[in-house]
Amino acid sequence: MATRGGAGAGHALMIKYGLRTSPNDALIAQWRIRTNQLIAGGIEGERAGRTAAAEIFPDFKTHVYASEADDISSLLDAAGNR
Amino acid sequence: MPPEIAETREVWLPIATFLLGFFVRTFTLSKADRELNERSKFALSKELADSQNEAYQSLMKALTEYASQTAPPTLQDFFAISGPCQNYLYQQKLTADAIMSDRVDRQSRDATFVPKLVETAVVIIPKTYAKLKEIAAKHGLPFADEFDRANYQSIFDVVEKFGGRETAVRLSGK
Repeated sequence: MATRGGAGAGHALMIKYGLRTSPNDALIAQWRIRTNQLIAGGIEGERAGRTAAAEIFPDFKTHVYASEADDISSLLDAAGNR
Repeated sequence: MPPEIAETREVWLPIATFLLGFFVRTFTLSKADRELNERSKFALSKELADSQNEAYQSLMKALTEYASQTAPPTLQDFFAISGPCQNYLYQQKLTADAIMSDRVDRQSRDATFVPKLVETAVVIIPKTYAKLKEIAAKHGLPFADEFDRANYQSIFDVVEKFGGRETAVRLSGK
């Protein structure tokens, strides 16, 4: 998810789009501009962000980060099956 | 100097100096004060992150234990998972409270807490309530806790303020 600027943005993008490292400010700015172009072109926000990320980040979807939400979610499912 | 002017000075000078000092102190923290302020923000951030992590570990443990049993759960078994769920969410709420009152350092807020609070608001809260309800209904156990957004208001406030536009759209369910 795109947080509002700051160091958090790079980290959030890394997790969200499975990047190897946190992108630098220049790349983040490029991604932001491209995303806004796509949105202006009528593409829905989430999809625009993803498309822009695939174009701009060379390491797009090269890593999978387990999130707490995923862990809790799958354990809740397992508990539901008892 | 005429006596009334001397008197005026005697009265107003200390008042003016007091006020000036007050405003200077209020609006310009010294460098040392700022550093102290940053340090205490960082210390609180670490404390919050530690409690969150503890709550997360307890929740994982409780859910794993619950899921590994096959016998129909008793009310006690159910409380053994609903408690840690509530506690996990409560810790997230405490963090959100601290962020909203500007008691957390910026770096921890953006890099650590906000992404987690977004996940909590978008995924964990709705999923937890839905699953606990489902489990309780399945085994005929009482679960009166209806989801009340007001209980977690500060989490939603943080997401709205720092989580970015994309998340706000996801939360509004479009």
